[in-house]
Amino acid sequence: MVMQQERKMLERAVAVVNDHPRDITFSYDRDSDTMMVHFFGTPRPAVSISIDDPDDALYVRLDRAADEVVGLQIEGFLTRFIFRHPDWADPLSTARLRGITREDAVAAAAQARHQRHQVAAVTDLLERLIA
Amino acid sequence: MTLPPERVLVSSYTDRFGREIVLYEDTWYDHILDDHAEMADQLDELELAIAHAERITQDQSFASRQCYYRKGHLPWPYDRDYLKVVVELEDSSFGRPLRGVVVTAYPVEAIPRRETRIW
Repeated sequence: MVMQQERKMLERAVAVVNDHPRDITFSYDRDSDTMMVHFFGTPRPAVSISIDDPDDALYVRLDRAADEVVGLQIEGFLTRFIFRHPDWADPLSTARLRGITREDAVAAAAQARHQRHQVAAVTDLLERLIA
Repeated sequence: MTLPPERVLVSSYTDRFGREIVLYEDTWYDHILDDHAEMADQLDELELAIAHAERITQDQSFASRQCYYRKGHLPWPYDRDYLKVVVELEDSSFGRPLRGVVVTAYPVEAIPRRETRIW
């Protein structure tokens, strides 16, 4: 469970996204395996504030000069994150890409979705057997 | 980590453990400066964060990566934040000394609680 300060930061992020839904852009860097979400279209100077999560390495980006939440940063995106959040495969079809082709990015996303379904089938079977 | 031969070196640093850490042009210009505008003109700070890290941790997502931290040396309004530099460590097989490659760098408010301290 996130702490109070982190919760406030996330609530501010939700408010910005709701106010500027059409401005969001994505960029993905293969070497660092980082997905950046830019709430105002282009990257803005900001500090990354860690959101404590046992599974994912997530940060909210805060522009300290403007005191404004300006984006998200997701580490381990293709290696870990996308397998738990297959809906996040979609941004790879439009994100600005570095170090990976669009074709490879979309293929990796499809593989993540596929693996997710396979894992769900296995766990579903096991849970039925247990029940 | 296999590096394509055409990568151009920006600089090479030595960390507290005597390991050579290198930064390539494409990482600096195409990723760090592109996605982290606050890192403009902070190349010297990146070097200091590696050479004089106050904390080195194990990365949360990658077993082959370590994170270097140095606090309080970025310009306002990030002067109370840490500079975090993430380094991918190469395989030290065949008797070669362990070497690292910078993969990203950005300011963080605090060191993530789930990163294990190495130094």
